[in-house]
Amino acid sequence: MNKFWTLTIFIWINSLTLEAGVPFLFQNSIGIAQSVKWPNNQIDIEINPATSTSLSNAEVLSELNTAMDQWQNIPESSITFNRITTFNTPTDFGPTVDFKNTISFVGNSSFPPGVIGITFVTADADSQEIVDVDMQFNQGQFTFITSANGPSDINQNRIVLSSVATHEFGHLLGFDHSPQSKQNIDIFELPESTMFPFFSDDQSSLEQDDISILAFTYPSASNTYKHVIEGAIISGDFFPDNVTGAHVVAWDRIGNPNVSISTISGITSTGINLEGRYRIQGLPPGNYTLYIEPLPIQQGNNQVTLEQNFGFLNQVSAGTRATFLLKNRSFTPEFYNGTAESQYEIDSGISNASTVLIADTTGNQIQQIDMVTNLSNQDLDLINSVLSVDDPILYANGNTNTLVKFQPKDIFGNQINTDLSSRIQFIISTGSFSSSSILSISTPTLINDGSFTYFSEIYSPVLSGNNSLLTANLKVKFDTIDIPNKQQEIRFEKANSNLTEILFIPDINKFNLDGLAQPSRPIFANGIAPATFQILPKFSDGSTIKVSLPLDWPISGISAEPMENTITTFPLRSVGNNKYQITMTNSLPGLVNPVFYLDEVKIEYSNSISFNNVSTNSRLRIDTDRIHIKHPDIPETPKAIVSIEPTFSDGSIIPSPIPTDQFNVLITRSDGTAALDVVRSPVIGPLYDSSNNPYYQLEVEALSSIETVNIGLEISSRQMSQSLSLSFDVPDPIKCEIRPTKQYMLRGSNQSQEIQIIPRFSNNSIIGSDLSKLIFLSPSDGVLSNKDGEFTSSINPAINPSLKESGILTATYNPGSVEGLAFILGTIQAAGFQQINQQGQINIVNANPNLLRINLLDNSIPADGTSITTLVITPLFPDNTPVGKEFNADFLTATITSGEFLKKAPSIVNSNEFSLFPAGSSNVSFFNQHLEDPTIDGDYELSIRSSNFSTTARINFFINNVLSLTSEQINFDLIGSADPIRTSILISEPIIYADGRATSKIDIFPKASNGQGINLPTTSSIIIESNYGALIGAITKNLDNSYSQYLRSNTNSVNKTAYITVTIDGVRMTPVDQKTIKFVDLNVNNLVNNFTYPDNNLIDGFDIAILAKAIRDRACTNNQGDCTLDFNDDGTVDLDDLEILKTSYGSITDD
Amino acid sequence: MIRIILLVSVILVGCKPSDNPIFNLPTELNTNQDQQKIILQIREESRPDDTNTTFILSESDLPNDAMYFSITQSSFDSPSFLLNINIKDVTGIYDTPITVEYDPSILQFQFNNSNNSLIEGPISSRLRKFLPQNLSTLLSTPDPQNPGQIVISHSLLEDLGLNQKYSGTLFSIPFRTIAPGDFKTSIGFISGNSDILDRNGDSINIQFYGGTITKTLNP
Repeated sequence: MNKFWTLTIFIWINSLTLEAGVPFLFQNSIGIAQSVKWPNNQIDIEINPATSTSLSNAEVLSELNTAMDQWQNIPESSITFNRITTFNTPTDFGPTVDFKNTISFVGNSSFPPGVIGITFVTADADSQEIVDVDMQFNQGQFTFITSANGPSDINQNRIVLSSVATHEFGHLLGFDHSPQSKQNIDIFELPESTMFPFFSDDQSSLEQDDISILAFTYPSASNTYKHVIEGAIISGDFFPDNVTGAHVVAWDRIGNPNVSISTISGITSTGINLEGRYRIQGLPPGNYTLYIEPLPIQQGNNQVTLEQNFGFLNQVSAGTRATFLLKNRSFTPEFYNGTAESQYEIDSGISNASTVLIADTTGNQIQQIDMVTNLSNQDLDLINSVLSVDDPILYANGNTNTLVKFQPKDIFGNQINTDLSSRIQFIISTGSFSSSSILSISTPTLINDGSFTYFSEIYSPVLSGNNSLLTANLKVKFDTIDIPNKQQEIRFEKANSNLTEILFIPDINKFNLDGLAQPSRPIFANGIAPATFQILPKFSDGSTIKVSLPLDWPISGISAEPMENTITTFPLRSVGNNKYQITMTNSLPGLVNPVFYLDEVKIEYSNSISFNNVSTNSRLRIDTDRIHIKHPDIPETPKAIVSIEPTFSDGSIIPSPIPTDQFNVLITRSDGTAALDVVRSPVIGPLYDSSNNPYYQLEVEALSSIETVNIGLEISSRQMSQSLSLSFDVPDPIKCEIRPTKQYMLRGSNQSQEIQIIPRFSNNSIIGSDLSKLIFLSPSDGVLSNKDGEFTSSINPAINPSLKESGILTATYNPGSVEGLAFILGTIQAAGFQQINQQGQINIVNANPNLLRINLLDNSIPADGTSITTLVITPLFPDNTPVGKEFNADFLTATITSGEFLKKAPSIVNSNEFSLFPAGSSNVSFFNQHLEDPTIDGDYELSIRSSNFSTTARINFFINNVLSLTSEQINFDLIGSADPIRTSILISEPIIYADGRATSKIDIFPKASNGQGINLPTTSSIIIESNYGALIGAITKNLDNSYSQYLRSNTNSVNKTAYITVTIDGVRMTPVDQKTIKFVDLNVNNLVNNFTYPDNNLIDGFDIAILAKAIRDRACTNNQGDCTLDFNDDGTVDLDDLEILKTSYGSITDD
Repeated sequence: MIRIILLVSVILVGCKPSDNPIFNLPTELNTNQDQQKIILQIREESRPDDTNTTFILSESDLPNDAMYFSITQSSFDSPSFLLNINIKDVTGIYDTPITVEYDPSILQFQFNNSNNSLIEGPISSRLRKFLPQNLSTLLSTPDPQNPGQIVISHSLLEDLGLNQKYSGTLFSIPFRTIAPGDFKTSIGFISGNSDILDRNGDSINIQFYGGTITKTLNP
């Protein structure tokens, strides 16, 4: 295998391939492309000038010397050419290695059309050494001329030899082309590299781009061009990748604009990389501006491409070449700006470009610079991005602010996970992005929450005067271009005069209590009562203004149109919840039109406020028109209470307080004279009624004489039209009343009752004063007593009653031993003692056995010998009121024909508790419930326990051993036997698999003849029988009083039907439908042995699937078709067969 | 050498968290902050026997014609949860005879003798979504010979044609955890005893994905 590789470099008339920062790369024996160089700095060149037909030998040698000197005369390089003139025609040029470097002119047609020369560079790629270079010029198509006869004329195929040769000696030294063309940036013109692929006479002299690679490759001892800038180019795309094949330029723009050195990303002197790494070598000290531009590069009609103008892609594998070209992305040329992402375009952003300082003049300085490309705007479609503003309406006071947020999304609506903050701008037409100055453009901040959302703050401007609205337009730019449809309106506002809510509060006291809106009412025009307004400022969209408004007048406040000097206004104040309150008063009646000012915005109130005087029709009330005269035996002087309710003329109550000195009470006698001897209290108030309406009050005391006075009133010097009449009087005995509270009492008992005495005036009105010392009571039989412990007797026949409450006096009466009517008599002081006309009358009686109220708490209990019900008896008076606890319970007895009585008695364990004890069935006395519960008066009870299998019982009642007539009306039936027809028998699985394992559950629900479920006594017998199968275990009784047992199939009972019979307490149950369980053949073989599915000896889902498919396919209908799965032999494979199969689901088969 | 470098490069790119959903767990599986939270991670095998090395998949990673698990835990302090049996874009299912395997020392199947222990899925994904209830059968029972295996049957009893498409939860199995403390356990389908059948009883080509259930107690 030949260890040498040869690069063939064609020199095209229109695309000469040059190189500076890009070395030739050769693929070594293990497939890695590496740069090559001459092993020695002295290179032998054999020139045959005689082969030229257009130039003399001297001209050839002079032109070629000029070219070689361009490279050899660089002080930073030690390369020298040992020039040998020969007249032997070389025959071993090209890939043939003869270690002779020849230059000759050829006139034959071996050149492709348009090629002016071929350079064969042959190198040992493993040692990275150039071993042989041969150069040929095409004089068959081109005429070579001297520089003195120049310049070159490409159209005429006339080429200055030294221009071409200078470029070609670069190749000879191991350099590929350079992408560095002549380029105008800002005010500068960057020089074209000699190794630029397109021929021009300018390439006859070296530029820094060429000198740098020369000095770095073949350095002299004094070389200072040894600094390096390296890094990587990364795509700033939404899905970033490395960029290969990008043209990277380091330009000393400030120090020496002619110094520009370039290379290509993805190539370094150590070979090709796919990470976009670049390495610019041979930099002199300087302050470098870096920029990048994509390949291919268009220059005029020519285009520099990676594939056609550079050799390195031919030295790598096809896969690497393809990947390299794939990563050769296009992007917008740009300057490096010192951060990861550049935003500055090459034609506009130069002033913002960052520089990289190479200051070291002796050492070897390496700078690491990574660059991220812009994203092409053409690839952007941010139409799905989200622009939002937290608060689209701001209060226009210059300091409220809101957040505008923008979340870029790609065309698919996906979040873009790249920091684009330097490329996004918010623009607002008014307002500001700053709190301290006007800033209409903002570069937003990335929110660090993973959402890749950007935000800026927007501050409102100040709106002055009555102007309440200013509209701003917010839009978003990306790379200075408006994003379509990403605009939003933001409004700067103050209170909206139409939508701001103003609530008129006539009664601020009531409002403070209940917070409820009030109907419009007048305000008292006394200069004190406030007309209050609650204000809720709102924006034009109806939303509430939440910033604090200025409160001071005249910026904010209340006024009136016209503003009268009787009106007093108070400052606006905040009451929380974004609400404000303000008040005004008026000392003159009339209508007032209030106007409000909120931060200079004028807001008119739609209605007028009426300030009024008090009405002469204000209401007066008195609690009674008649009171008892003052008397030494009445402990408290009788008084009447007068209430005053001041109103406006419309009848509404004046809500604001009125000073009590504004009230003047006038009391007169019937002849019109002032009743100065009448004592009255001062007016007090305001008091408030249950509706929180204010009122005022005074008290008027009784005189000692019987007469009538008038009560009149002035408020604020206005005479009220209403007046009140008040009489001072004594009781009328005819209208007074003595009233028992019970009609009947038990003779000789210790019963008592309250006797009420109600004194009245002649107009029948009740007298509220305490007249107990003015009344005397005595009974015809029995005893009266009062709260003072006094009682009547033969010695003391009469007592005073006691005061119970206003208008009612009481005494207590106990019956005597005389059966019949008893009377309560009384006298009352009424201008002398007089007999009370209405006397009390009470019936004193014995208990009546015919009057019993009987209540059986449960008249149907099971006849199980254990169930209990309770009988409650209440002896009654003739008026059906209970006789009461004084009745002797021993006198009340009962007898029962079946079962027995249980009677409560103190528990043996704890005498404070009561238990039931058997008390027999005949002549059993009752138990007084009062002993257990004092709140129950007059009820007596016995409990009854049933006996087994009795169906009825009868109870007789006796009082004092006299059979009560009502006792025969009491019957109660006891039921407890299972009814043969109503008793339910349920079979859980009517059809089961006759495998000896499948079971069906039998449930029995005993029911009485009325259908009610019953709880059979433990002594009952339940028997279940079946003619086939095996009953498993004992019958169990369940919590719901039902009974259960399982029946298991037998393997020899296929197609048998078991008849189930149930016998309870010797009676066979006969339900309407006969209860049966059928045993069927499941044909397991047809299921588990199915040839399609796995047989795991388990009835499982595959077996269900087989049957399900048969049902779906209607495989067997009316005994037609495949009926092997018709387990119950009803002629159809259907859900019934599935139910049978389900009973065996999960069972292990015998197969 | 170049080929190797290229391959490594592709793998590195492919494994970035932002690009490769294999390493990007769904959010609901990542927020493991509460007490006694029980989570399930879908694994690429039907019976994952190694809980540490194989791939964890998200639902979006699964191909069509897949059967897989998810769980529903009603509250983080409850030991009970529902194991959901889900399918993804399967057309024409009529029968789902499957066997689910779990570790009975860690999990307990809440089997109810008298009633069906399974809970049918929501109406959008339940197998009988075009049929009344009595025209489908859904059964489950513990395998008497194999503790830790549940034998499940789900069949349609009426012909619905061929093109009914199903995706979502077919039914749910009630479980409770009985192992104290933290644990990580596998749950899977026994593919030899599990299948999805079409109208004719023929097997539908389906991939079963088991899972790992993790209980974490956070102090």
